[in-house]
Amino acid sequence: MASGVGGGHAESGIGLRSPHVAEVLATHPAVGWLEVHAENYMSGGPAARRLDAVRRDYPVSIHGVGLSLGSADGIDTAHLERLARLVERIEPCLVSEHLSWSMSGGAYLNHLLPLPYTEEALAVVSRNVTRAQERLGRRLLLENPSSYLRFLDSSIPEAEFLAELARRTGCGILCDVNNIFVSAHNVGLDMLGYLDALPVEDVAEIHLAGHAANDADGHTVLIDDHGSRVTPPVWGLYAAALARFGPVPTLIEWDTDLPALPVLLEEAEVAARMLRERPPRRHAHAA
Amino acid sequence: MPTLREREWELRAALLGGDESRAPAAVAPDGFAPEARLAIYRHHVLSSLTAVLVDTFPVVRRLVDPRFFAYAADVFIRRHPPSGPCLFEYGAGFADFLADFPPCRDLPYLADVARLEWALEAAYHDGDAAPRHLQSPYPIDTIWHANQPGADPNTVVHLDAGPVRLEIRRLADDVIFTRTGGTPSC
Repeated sequence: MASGVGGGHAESGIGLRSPHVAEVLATHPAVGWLEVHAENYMSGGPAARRLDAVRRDYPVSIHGVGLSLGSADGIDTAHLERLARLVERIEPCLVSEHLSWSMSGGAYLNHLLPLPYTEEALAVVSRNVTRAQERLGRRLLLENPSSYLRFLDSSIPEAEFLAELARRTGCGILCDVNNIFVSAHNVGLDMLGYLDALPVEDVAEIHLAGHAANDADGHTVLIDDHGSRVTPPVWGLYAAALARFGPVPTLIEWDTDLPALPVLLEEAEVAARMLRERPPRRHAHAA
Repeated sequence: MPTLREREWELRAALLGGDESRAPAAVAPDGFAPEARLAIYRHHVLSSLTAVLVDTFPVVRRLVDPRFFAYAADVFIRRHPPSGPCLFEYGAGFADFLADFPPCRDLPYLADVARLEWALEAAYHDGDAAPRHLQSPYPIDTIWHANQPGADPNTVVHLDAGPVRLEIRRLADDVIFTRTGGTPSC
């Protein structure tokens, strides 16, 4: 299996946000691929047509935020259908979602909410991921969340939970390196141990972003706000991730205080250089 | 140990209101209070959904003052959270909510202005090109124009100018509205 998004070598990409769409279409910047949030392109408005134009020029990855794969209620059929139609139309290089929930009792809370990592939750998420993959007819990548709390019920370390989910469902893993860093600070994780617990062959995408440091109740909390450049320690953790996983398609995400497009492209170029410098994956696929 | 569904209900209640007493006991303190950890999530839920309403209802916000709007949005979000993840669909019920919201009773035209702003948003995202129609006993189109960026701050709106009927439709990538009935506007 090729590790690059469009086949060939792994490249870096940027999260495409609506203020940049016209500029990307007009100037066609050199970047390997683009990722969009699925839910922004599910209406009949002009945005959907512009995404079709973007897709003619670039590989596009679809990143969902609303499927709520951790919902004990199960996933919403109507939303899965909308996602399936978008995937059929765009033919994305990657389709990803989150290890979290956001729907409960018919209410959507617009946040990637945490799960207790229990056997029950593992069964629920596995069932939901399997259902989504069957409808989409392809592999989903599941992203590790940024955490601000840990449930006392949790009995399975998060990275092991993801590894077992991949084993049971065949899903891939989107390793958000910034989220590992943020969660490590907020709830206490061994970052390198986390990387080591993820199965190398299942990590198919990496996310990088900036975070903020806020005060909460007199304690410093790192907030995954995607509002600044990737910090030096996160670049360091990214280097460790590449050493373990080999070159994996890598995305720069920026959502809050969106800067000019060239700033995102600069960040993507840093990742691209690191991808080129790294040796191929140490773990070859079995013949 | 509670089921996952119960855990999710507890957390939902802690974020949107309702029984906020149970979720903290499920959270590891890890150095600072579970309530402070839950507040991080609550802040994100309420502020991000408020931002959606701010984007969709800028004229209503201008008419009532941003601080009051934030208060009304907070009450609305807790009572009527989104029913799905496509947030361009969120806000359909805001006009009816304002119509029944006691602090707004001295602004009888406010709910109809919200209906106009919702119709503009819905028409933008609507794939089908059929026009929408709206009527009001108040000159909501004049109110809307007088509260656009760059509008003449000395514009006088006569609330008793008579009823209006409006047609709202998408035109290429824009949404336009015109009067189809009522007193001619300037």
